[in-house]
Amino acid sequence: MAKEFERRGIPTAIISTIVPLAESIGPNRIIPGKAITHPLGDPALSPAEERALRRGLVRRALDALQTEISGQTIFR
Amino acid sequence: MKLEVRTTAVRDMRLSGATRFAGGVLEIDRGELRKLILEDSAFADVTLDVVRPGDSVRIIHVMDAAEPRFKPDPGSSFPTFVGPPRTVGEGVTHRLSGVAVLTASEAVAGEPTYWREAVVDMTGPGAALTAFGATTNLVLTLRPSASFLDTSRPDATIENIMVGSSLAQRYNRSVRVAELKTAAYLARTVGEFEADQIKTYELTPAPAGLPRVVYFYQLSGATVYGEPMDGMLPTLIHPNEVLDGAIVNVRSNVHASNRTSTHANQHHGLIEELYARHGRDLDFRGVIVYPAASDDINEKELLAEYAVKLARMLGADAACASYAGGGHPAVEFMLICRKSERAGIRTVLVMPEIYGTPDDPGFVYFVPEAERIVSTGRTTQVAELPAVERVIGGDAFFDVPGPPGAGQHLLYRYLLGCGTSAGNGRLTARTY
Amino acid sequence: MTKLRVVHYVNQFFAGIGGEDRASEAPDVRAGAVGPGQLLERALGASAEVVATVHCGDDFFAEHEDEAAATVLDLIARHQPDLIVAGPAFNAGRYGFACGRVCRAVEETLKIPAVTGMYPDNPAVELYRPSLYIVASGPNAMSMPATLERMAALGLKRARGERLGEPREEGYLARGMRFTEVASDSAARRAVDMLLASVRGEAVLTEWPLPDYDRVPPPTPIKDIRRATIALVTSGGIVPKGNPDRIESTYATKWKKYSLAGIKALTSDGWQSIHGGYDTTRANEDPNRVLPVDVLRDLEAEGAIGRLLDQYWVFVGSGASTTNARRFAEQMADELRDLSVEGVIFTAT
Repeated sequence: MAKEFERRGIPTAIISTIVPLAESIGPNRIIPGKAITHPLGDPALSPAEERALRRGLVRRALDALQTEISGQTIFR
Repeated sequence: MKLEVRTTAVRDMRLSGATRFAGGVLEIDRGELRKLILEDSAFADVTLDVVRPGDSVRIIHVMDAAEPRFKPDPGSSFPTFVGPPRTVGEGVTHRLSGVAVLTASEAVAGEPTYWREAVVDMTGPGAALTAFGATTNLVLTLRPSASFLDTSRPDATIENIMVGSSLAQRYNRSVRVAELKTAAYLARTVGEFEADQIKTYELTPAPAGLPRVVYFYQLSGATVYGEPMDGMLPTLIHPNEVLDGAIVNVRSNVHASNRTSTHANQHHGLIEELYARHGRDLDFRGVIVYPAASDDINEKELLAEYAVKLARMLGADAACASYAGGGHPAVEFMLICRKSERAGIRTVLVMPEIYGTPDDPGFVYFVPEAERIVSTGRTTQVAELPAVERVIGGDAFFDVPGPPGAGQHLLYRYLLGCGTSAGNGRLTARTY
Repeated sequence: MTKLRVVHYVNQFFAGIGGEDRASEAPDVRAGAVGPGQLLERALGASAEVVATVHCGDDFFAEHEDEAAATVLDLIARHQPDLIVAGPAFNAGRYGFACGRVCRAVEETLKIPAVTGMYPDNPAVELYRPSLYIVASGPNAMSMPATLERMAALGLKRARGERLGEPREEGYLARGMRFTEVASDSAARRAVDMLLASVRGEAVLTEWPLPDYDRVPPPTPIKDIRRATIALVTSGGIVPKGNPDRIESTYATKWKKYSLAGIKALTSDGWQSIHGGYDTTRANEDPNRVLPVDVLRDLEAEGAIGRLLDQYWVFVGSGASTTNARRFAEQMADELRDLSVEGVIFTAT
């Protein structure tokens, strides 16, 4: 689905834990998520730590949206 | 390991006042069987019905099915459920053909129902779509005791929506115990009689030069000797063990169409086929079982690596792999395909098509190496089923409106085992 | 028995009017079969006849598609046909698009069966394949006789309402619709047969073809993110608590959009996950773990992004790019552009 946005020229970053899946049907900018059931969270952390983790992942996605790439790239 | 299966054909079953077998007819002491089943306080009551092929009956809320089998000492019938914790797949097994035991029940506290419904029709087009349209079935409709319906209990909370509450898991296990106790009880009754047929299962050394084949068996909602596979690394199992009661379905919240029942394991299509051609067309090296699915991508990778490594240790150059269904399990399934092919092991996949409208490719995940697929049919297609005179197992479908006995446009996904990736059925799908 | 009435659509070249120099010819009609139409008529046999040939210049059609289609449709309708045959267009793009458009108009508006023929690489195939019966031809007119034979046979079946065989048998390009059927052997037998054949080095035909990989070039990155509008999309099933639209975790891909106006962060009181394919407990405890509204609002307040779009999209289903899903995604992409969205963050479980 995200490929359709890319076809229209809208940069799209996916945050997903199943990187192989994102590689096959996803867009070019891929950020690995934390876990399947909570890609942008971690119940083992305190709420403040979790928020920081989430912020870090979103920042990475925003960075990816600003980065020139030549093909599918995983931003770790 | 040599397994000798002695089959006695049963023409008919009847509930009566005494258990005996004569002239191909198995009479079952209704009182004794009820007592056996109601030993477990999980059940408030049980209704026993015998249904025959062609009867105008629809069975709903089916949980599992098993074929009557009994292993005399020193063997163990359905180890850890009925018999003691011994491995199986060798010695003697008494088997009854033409009959099956089915269990049905309403849901209990904390049991998700969105994949729970399973239907068996004894007449009409639905009858040919499951194995049980052709067998005389003893149906155990179990009624949970009040405590299992109590949603206020702490163990009725759902920790994980895929498997349900711990109460629901215990109830599901009790149901299998009841079913398998019944299956063993029936087979034991007939067991002393002369077998009509004896079949031996043994992986005798195959001539050199034949392709060495392994079978990657993805398990979902099933246990190996009573152990759930979750979190475990892939492991080697002998095909005889699969046929002889080592693998039991314990979870009812799995799509009926690809729910591989205990019965489907006892009759495992791929294993029977590989056995039939062992020594002639191929060298059947063994079965590798593994769970579906881990939540962690690293675990999925490791699991796939490990499964393929086992195949390499067995010297495999070819493999069949069956997909249990589901979104996340598709990942380790396809990773095994990719790694297997890359290791030089030619791999054929057996897959139900569980997603998609007719124009939807339906793959939740795939790898380019998945070029050899046998489809067990698209479960999102609709079967037209007739009205029936009697419904047993429940009063209403979990998630289909209207009276269950009426004529139905029912998705294939509700028909028990019609698309099992064990390969027992004849369904496929074609592109137009 | 009356003969089936067939109208043949061709371009200016096959109508015998001229080549590229006459490609701007407006639509017109001639009685009976013209040019390759005569071969078509022979292929149709005694039960059908080509009552008229409608033709149009490829350039005219390409430049005035709606008008040309309407005129062609009208010219066809006047002859009260039972079947329309268009082309074959082989690998000619403009001609292919014209044939496709004519056939679709005929099927949708006149409700008359239509058959066309194209080379599989014809650019019009991608657009028209799912909805039309396109017989596979060779790249040029060398394959005319064989293609017309198959088009005639398929056309007659359709006109008579007969059941069609598989694409391979009938010679048309598979439309990608999958239907469950009963095979002659068990899946297990078919699997072991396929494996042994493959090991022997024989070519085997998969029962379930993989979708085509299509790689999209990465779009130009955002120039100034501090001024950019960012939109959130998720496949993690996050919806307002109570699931007001009763979305189910179904098989067909379904989409919904919900407002984030005034929402600083998602809460377990206000939101939930209805995805059936994963354990939603963690997502329900804190939906931001799947749809990170909270941190995007923080970043918005700090000026790190221009703004977070005040609506998000959620979809359920397998998410594979199907014809319907693709069409919806195209509409959504248009909407995103209209809303000046410069980047999308997509979260998946």
